Amino acid sequence: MLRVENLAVSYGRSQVLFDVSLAVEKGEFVTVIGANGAGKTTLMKAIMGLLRPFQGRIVFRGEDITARPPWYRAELGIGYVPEGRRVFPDLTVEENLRIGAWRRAASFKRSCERIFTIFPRLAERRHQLSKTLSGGEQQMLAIARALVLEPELLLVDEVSMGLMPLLVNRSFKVLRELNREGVTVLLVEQNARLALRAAHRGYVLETGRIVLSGPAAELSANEMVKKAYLGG
Amino acid sequence: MFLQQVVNGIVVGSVYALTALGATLVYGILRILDISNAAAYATGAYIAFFVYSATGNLLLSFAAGVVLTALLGLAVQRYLFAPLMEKPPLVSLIASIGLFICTQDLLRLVAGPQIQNFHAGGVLPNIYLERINLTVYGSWVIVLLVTAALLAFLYLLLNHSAIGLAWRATAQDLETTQAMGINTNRVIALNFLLGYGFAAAAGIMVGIMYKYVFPTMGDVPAYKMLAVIVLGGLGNPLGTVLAAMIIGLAETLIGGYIGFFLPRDALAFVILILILLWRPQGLLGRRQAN
Repeated sequence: MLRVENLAVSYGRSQVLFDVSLAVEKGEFVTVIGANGAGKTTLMKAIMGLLRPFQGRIVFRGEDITARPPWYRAELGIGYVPEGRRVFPDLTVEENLRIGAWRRAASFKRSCERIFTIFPRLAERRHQLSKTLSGGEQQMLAIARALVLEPELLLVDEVSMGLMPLLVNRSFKVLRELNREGVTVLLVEQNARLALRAAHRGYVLETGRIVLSGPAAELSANEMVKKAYLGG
Repeated sequence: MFLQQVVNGIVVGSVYALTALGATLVYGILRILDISNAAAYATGAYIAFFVYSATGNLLLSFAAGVVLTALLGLAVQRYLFAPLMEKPPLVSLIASIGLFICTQDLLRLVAGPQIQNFHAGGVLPNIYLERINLTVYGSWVIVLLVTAALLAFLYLLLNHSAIGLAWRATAQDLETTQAMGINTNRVIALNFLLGYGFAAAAGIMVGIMYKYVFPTMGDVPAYKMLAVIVLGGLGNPLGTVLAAMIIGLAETLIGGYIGFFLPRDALAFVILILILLWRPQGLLGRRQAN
């Protein structure tokens, strides 16, 4: 479904991604794990079109989208849950969802009701400004906002960041359920233990390069991964 | 006399508000100061003046001035600001100052440096209300009605329409809005379309009110525009209108009653300094989190 080929991205003079290649098949849950500063967010932004790579290609469902703007990628069905949630603070919950469903406005009512059955807390807070939500609720809103697009592929940047452990577990559970229902997921994550438990396959990103890849269970058993990311 | 000054102040404030709103909308999204927004003020007035000279139709000349200037705003966004977006904001600021100066000289080249008489008044008669000692000038009524209509239009557009929702999202987080599927270039283009159109409307009405136009008529409004948008809390449309009214009223009331040791036009900046000492973020601006 998604193919990233030899991607290289730099901010000014400092290069962040070097020759990154990865693939996500339909129905898969794939994770990219890596430490802070490894280039995970940069990779997500490049796939979404928020950063322009200076080398490489991004192919989505057979179409080369490397030069396409982010809104075109959303139209094609790439949903995005940004790092740090980035909900629109001065918009209500429903308005946030409306923005998320911009490219699917005709079916907004239906998709919105569906979302509210998955996240009943959001239904209760429908008309509240999203800056008044708790961190966990904002994370749910960020996921919901991507889901109302009815995406083929969901890009998730750090679902665990800044959340207490209970909420982290719940967020992962939500992602797994969504994947079971057919949403393809690409998750970049610092919390390698939980990410590898949830995903089918994984990649390890180190200082901008993919150094290892394979089935999640295999990665979890790998000595290097254990040492560097799973705490020995 | 007091009532007369108050109404006068509101009329002046309306002109400031219309001139500054475009720059506020642009700042709200792009975080750049678009000085050339004030160039639309004189440009609109001149287009209306030329069309009126040729046709004698005031409504047509007003519409032509507003619409053509708004389209120029689109061109400015597309060909001047869009290519500069990836540069630091200072580059855009300098470019907009350059465009402002160029526009003035272009007007001077096309129409000559002299003051041109713009006799389009007398559409609405002046009425003296004896009971409350108030002269209602026809041109004032036009300014107030047009301003009220444009502000109501902007309010409804921003708060009760789909494109307004997109505008508010873009102002809060440009990047995420793009990722959600919104073509933010269109939202930005809308800013320039509205902003230049509004400033043109202000310039045209001032031209009609004072019965003349001249190439540098946008100078003082440009300075005032800066004071108004900073005072209102950068990027906040409601704050801009509030600040414009405060400066307009202060100018007429203090100028008319107490007198002031500096030129009247300096008052806006004295008020700006005083209010910023009290509220550094402007009237309705949000305090920056440290």
